Amino acid sequence: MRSLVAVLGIRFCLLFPILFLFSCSSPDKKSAANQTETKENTHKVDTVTINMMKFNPEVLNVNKGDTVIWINKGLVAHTVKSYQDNKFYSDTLVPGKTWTWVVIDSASYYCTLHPATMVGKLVLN
Amino acid sequence: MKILKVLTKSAICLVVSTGFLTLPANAQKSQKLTDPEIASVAVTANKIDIDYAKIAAKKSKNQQVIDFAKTMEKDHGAVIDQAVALVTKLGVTPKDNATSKSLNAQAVKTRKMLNSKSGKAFDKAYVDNEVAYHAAVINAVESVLIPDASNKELHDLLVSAVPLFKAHLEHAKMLQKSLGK
Repeated sequence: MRSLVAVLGIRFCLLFPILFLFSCSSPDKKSAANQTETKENTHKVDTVTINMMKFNPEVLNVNKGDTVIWINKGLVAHTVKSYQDNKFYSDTLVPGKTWTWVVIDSASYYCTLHPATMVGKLVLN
Repeated sequence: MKILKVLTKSAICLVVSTGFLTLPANAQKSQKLTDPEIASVAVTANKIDIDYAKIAAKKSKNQQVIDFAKTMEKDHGAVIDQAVALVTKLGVTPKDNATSKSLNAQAVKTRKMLNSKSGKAFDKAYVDNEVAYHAAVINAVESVLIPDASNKELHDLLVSAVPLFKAHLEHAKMLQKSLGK
């Protein structure tokens, strides 16, 4: 009787880790993991060029998590600031410098140094 | 075509009556400016606005006016840097001429007028002058300096400066509106 209990115990001990391993690699969970990875990989990087006193493109369609890089190719310094406070406000971008923001929301923005003419918009898809 | 050019230059001289950019007699006769003369006019025009900005930054108590003046100082300084770098590269020495002398003579009067004012009257005078000055500079650059420039790089620098001056003009108009409220 004792040996029967011992044998069953050993078999259970061997079976449990095997079942555990199988459950971890079930097809559903594997595909969910792949989806996350794919989503992360599809985040794109967009560039907004500042030149001739304009943001180009002025309107950019983006997704959450995308990265937007502003590059100043103009004659003078510029800034990039969202109209809504606390969304983003770049440092002063002297010619040749870039500034990067990871999109969390739609935003209308402008250059604080040239507020009458230099405006742009990020539109969330 | 020559008549059109004379008419254009005469039109610029009408702007003078607003009290700022006086093109001299020789410019009115459609005498083409040389590249060294254009370089001199460009540098002079930018320096003049920097001087106005320095007065405003010192005298104004209005933060919007001060911020605008600081931007003028930096932007026109950057244009001068580019112009000086270009003429150095090209081996061109800016040549003082009737137009740049006339600009300086008018600027002396404008600085005197600005220095005689204070408070809100100063802000208004400074911003009104910025609107008139930038409108006249844009007109002169587009109608005289760009067409007269022989060197392509000098021509391109002048072309790239026009949107900057136009942005300044719109900014000055925005301020003018805000001060009028």
